[in-house]
Amino acid sequence: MSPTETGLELSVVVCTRNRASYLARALRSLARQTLAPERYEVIVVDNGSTDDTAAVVRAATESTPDVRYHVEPEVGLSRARNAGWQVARGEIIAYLDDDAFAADGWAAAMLGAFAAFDPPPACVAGKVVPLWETVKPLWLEPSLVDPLGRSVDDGDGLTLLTHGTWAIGANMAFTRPALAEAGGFRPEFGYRGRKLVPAEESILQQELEDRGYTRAYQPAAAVSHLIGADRLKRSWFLRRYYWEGVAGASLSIERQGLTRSASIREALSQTAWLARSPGRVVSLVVPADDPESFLDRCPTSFRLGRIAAHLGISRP
Amino acid sequence: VAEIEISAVVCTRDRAPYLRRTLASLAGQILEPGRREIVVLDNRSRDDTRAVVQREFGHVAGLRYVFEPGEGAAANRNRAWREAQAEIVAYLDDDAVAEPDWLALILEDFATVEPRPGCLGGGIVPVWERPRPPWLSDDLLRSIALLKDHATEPRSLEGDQWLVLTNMAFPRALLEEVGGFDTRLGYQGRRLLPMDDNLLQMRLAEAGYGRYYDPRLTVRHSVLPDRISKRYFLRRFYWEGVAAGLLAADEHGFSRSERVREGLRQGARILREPRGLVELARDGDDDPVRFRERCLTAYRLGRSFQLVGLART
Repeated sequence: MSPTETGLELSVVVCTRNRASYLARALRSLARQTLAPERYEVIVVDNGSTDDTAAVVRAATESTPDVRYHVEPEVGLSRARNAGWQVARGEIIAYLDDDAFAADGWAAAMLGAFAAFDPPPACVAGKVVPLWETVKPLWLEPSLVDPLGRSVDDGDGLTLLTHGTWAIGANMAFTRPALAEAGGFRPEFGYRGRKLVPAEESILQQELEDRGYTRAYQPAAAVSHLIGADRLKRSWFLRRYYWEGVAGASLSIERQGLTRSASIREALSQTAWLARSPGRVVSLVVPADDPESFLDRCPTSFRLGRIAAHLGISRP
Repeated sequence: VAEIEISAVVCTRDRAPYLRRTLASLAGQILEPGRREIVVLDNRSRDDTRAVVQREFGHVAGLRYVFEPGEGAAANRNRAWREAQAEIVAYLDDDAVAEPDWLALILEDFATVEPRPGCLGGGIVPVWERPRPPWLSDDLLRSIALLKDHATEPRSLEGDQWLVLTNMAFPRALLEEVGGFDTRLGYQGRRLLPMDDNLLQMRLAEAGYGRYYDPRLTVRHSVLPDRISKRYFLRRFYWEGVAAGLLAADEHGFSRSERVREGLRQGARILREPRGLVELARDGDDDPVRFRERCLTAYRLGRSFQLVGLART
């Protein structure tokens, strides 16, 4: 892969919204990369922050000249990510979450992964190591986290990814031509404020796969991902599962070309499933502290999301 | 063999679930593992601390578990720097999480800041393990170091601005020079006597060494559920007062009778405003200003009790 005329090989895109204190540490990690500074740039896409995000970026610009600040006023993670690659000058676009911290060799390892295969992969997933801000609550079972897209962990070596294993947004990179060809991230998917619609990353990767591109996993491109206390609330998980249901149902309607009546039939059969055990629905609104009852509530929330999507009440 | 440059020490007691997270943040540091060691000083834990450290972190290169059977936090802190093999000793609380570049930045600061400080540390961001109650003001949190936010830019600290041992680093040789932590202070059993870290900073200052604050070294520190109660804060402020009395007596070189006189003088001030005492006893509302007043009264009581010789330390 040859660098573009600008000589820039890598653009690191950090999308953020009102998390100035997190962003400061992400930028700090990007300032101390082993990759030569002239080989990469950093683009902060501010998705409508009202805190001192701009000041944090200004401060970072003093220590690392090649940090650019871009505002994407329309709220939505996918819109912010698309704005990021569209203004990027590098051949490779790497996405780092604002609550992640990249290891020193992260950028170099990302570039290395693209160069290691012929033809180069369209997408590289990095390794994501969780850093818990608080003690994992009792109700948070691994079986609740896994379905929400556990980070890829495919061993210690650079390897190609197989179908069904997706790079997650905290730490992933794409070639720019591939992003352009697939049309980037679908804006109706991806978190938008309180709407926790998932799946924008996997939809894009599926699209790339359909077009015959390969994807790779590079464990050497490691980031530590801060799991903040605000994420460890039951209400967050219930909302997240609801939107998981909405996104899943909407995708199957689209991919299977379901008619309106088929969709309503599906909603009815899901409702019947819920109606067979009304206790599940009741338990959704009754507070419960023990892990087991919470374990039951998430699938119920997920079903409700599916039903809402089939009835056309909730859309991604 | 490369030399170990920094020892990260964690003094702990009966906090295995929190310690697990603290150690994970140290094991994941970006500093090359060959340049650091991690020492866990277990002060007589009765929970599964030893098992957690050895089973879950046994594979981490350069990590050591040390059991300290002695009494008191200050003694444990002293054991920690004596155990440390590196020239720099960095203390991290067992209920705090360090940023991935914490150790790397400490080494960078000690290598670059001129004149070289006697100690350095960062801020503290509280992580609420229970919802934050309305009666707790930021002021109150700052005064007992549950919140620290001295500055947004690195700088030397002056006057009564202190670093806290929640996250703080020293050259080992300096700890040796000033004799480490004063074991008259520090938590011990039910005694919540703080300020052993303050006193150490005063001694360093007397010896001509400054203290340096770097906001990048800020850690996330759990406010433990058993601390989120008015009872805890009132007790804590009482003991802050006791420690302040002890330090004041030290500083002025008071004789026994001078101490009693000073203690009575301060005690009389409390009695002149009996409203404060009444407020202290009465569990009021959730008003943060009124609760702060109660804490101050508890502090003053602790200070005069100590001077008069009533506080059992």
